[in-house]
Amino acid sequence: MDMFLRLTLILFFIGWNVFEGLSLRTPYPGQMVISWESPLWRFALLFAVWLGAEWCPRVGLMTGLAVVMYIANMIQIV
Amino acid sequence: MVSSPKAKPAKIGEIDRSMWSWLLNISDVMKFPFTVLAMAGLLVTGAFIEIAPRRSLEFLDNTFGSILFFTVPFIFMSYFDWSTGLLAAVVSLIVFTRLEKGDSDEGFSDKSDDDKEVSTKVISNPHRWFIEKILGEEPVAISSDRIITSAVQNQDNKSSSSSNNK
Repeated sequence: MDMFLRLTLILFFIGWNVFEGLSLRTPYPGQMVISWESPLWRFALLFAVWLGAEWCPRVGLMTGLAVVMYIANMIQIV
Repeated sequence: MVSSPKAKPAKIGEIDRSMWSWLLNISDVMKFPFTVLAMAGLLVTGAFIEIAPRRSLEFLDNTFGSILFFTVPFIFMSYFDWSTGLLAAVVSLIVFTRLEKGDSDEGFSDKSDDDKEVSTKVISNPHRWFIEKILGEEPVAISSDRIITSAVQNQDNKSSSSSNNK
């Protein structure tokens, strides 16, 4: 079960990073853009990186990449 | 229970009172509090770096800063653990991204002559305009939501007056 969850999350984040993070033609969901204003949301994102890394290094790495791309995009556009 | 008279008392080794051992001891004892503090510091830095003025981060915009961006995650990873090092690397990248973007009041600004500032606005309304539906666009932010115009200035007065003087 644990292995299945890890694999699912890793595949999800690979897909997310390729089609959402790196693709300039695909905008982030509106709710994610609106949530950027909330410090609690940014705090939770960073905590998710740490939590993912504690659970599994590969999940942490993928979460970290996704969060960096999202925050870099938000800093640039807002 | 009465211990047998043959039993020897356990030997206590000599206590190392050197500065190095003292530092090692402090490092071991304080590792957990330091980890919590480092985690809190990294989370707060990453969450609020966007609102920090760029001027306060300019000391990182040189070779020294670039070295710090690489060494700090390495130090965190070496002293604490892998996950804290990864978090430090993520925060370093976020700080680097923040450095790449200037403040709105420096360099070329979007201010017009009458000081009406144009700023990016996030779209909170889910309903799209007709033209957006037709073109299949889903904008998430508007970089400028107003057009500032000014009356046409007649430049001929100066030239005509100057030509009259001749």
